[in-house]
Amino acid sequence: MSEWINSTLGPLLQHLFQPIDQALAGVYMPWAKIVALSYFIGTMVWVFVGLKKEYVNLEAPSKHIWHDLRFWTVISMMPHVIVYLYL
Amino acid sequence: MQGAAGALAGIDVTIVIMYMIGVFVLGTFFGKYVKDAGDFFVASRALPFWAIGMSIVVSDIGAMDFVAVAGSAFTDGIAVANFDWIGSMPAMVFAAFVFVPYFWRSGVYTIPEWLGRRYNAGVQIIHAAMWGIFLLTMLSLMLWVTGDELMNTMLGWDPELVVWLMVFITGVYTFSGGLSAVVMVDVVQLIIMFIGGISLLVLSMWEVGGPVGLQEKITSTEPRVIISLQSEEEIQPATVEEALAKAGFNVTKVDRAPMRTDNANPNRFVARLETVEIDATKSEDIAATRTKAKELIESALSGVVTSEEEPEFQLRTYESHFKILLPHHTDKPYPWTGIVFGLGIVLAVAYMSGNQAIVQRTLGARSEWDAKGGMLFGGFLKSFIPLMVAVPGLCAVVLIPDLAEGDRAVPEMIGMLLPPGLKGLMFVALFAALMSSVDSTLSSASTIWTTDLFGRFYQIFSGKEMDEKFGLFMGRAFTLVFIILAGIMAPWIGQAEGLYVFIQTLLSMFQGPTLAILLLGIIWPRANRWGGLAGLSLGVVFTLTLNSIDGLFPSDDPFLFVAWWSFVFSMIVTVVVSLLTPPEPEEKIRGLVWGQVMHDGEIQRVLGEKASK
Repeated sequence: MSEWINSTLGPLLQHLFQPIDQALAGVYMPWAKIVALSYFIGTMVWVFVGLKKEYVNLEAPSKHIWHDLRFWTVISMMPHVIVYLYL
Repeated sequence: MQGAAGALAGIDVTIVIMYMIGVFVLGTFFGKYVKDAGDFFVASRALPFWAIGMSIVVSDIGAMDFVAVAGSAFTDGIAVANFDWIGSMPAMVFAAFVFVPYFWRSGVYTIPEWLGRRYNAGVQIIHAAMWGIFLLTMLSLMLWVTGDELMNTMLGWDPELVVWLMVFITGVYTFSGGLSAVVMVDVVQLIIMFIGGISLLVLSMWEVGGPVGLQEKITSTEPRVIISLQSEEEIQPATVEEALAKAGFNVTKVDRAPMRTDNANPNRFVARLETVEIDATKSEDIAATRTKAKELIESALSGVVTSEEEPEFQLRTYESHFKILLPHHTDKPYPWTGIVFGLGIVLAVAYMSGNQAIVQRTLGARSEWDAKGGMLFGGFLKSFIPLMVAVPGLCAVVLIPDLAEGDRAVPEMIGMLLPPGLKGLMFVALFAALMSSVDSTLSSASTIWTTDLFGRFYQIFSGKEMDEKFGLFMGRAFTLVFIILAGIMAPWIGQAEGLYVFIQTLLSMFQGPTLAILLLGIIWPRANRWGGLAGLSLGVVFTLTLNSIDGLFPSDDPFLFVAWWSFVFSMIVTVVVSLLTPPEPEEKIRGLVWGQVMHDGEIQRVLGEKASK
């Protein structure tokens, strides 16, 4: 089965994936850091800007800032941003 | 008999026994609150955020993680921490705000049940069967691996005794108290795990001179080649040294690797090199230099023995031990592309949103805010896990650099650094990690088998749904059968490595496609049952195809890349097939699609009433 897949679909998929592989291999490493940081920062921005405050904090015990899950998100993610920035 | 961690002192044994009794009493105490299936499977929907968050973390971290993650950090560096950082936190935020509210509001017990409502029974049964079998196998495996590879290796304890002790304690309290017992015991276990883990971290860091000392010492550590040669004759270290020198390497020293087990190969060596760079290997690209160096080492070693079996070796360099993101072309197992796309975007989200053992805790939340908050708090706590499991592995590079097997790092460090009392506490932490994973897996397996497999077929054949009392009876029956079955199967599954690899591979094939249909099912009202079924089944076939073709991706074990591309493929298939077939009636998807819940006040009111029932 594996041999059959290798011989029939292998060449086709190689044509598809090899250019992508080569393009990614040439990516300058600081871009990797930027992509990873964007993932964290983008998630924080999405929670703060993309979601309604009422939806995020529905059924919250109080309206105090320490019950605001948007701030929880930022506090939980900031250490990660620092780690990926410096390591 | 004594293992790698040395013998336990009287105080250590007392701590372990007190812990076992305490956990047993605490767990069984919650049995008196269980009156029906809702109490058993989702803890009467009364769990606060802090208990959910703590339980998620401790369910996810098993005893073997302490050993395997530290081992991986020892050989490959800090990049292994990606699994608890970029591979957890963003995914837990998505789970908290996209997936969890929908599962929670719809009042389901399991994810397959939600899939059944959103798509059809076929999708539910395929997904449930896969997870049901996987969880059951995992149960046996985690019992055996911990009993045999951890407690037997470290302390010399009889693995079967450890397995049946765990079966008895976790089985009784999970049977009795269901999810509430599991979660409350998990809370205690997380605290113990953190105390044990932090003790090891602090003592390791003290020994290496703190973070700065650790980095300086690791980056100045000489590269090593761990060599295993197959020969009936005893080969001398000088022969290996000569072969490597002939290939152009500046060899500082070659020693026999310490023989840790009875059947260890005597022809195993640790060669220290001044550098891996020689004239033939110098390149701007570190990965290219390492690849070329490996080729040269391989050809040099081939000349040492005439055996048909190829020499095995592992080249260890430390220049990237403090790099969290590694190049796309690397001979280490975590290239950044796989980590960000395959792990961060697909596998982590699929795991945090589609793994019953994780999501079940949030379904037992006392409010939607607690469900979301529990996920976020869990993500925050999980950020500390690499400090306790990966950093001691890095410290081992400085303290015991000639270790041939990375997985021996933690047992050796425990034996070397922890005094009596703390050693007992560390073992309690390992037991806590094991028991919390076992109880969560057991609880989730019985929930899926009761609700999605037995319950679904019961409904098909009897024409009615199980009532709450019958659901509780079946849930407890499955719990009892599974934990005993897991104990019986443990030695067999533990030795049948191929079976475990097969099942894990099969599950990994489902991750990308499952995430695709979950995501589309929630955000896109037009996704229908045919799209979901095609996306899931063809996605799995595509994953199988990608796994079968050699050399498609830069890694030897390309599961990160396969997960990403199978996710993309399943998204496309689900969209195309859904558009080519009739849409679902609006009544069917009412309250199951994100846009409706976000913007439709009437639906929000109905869902609120439904969830509060």
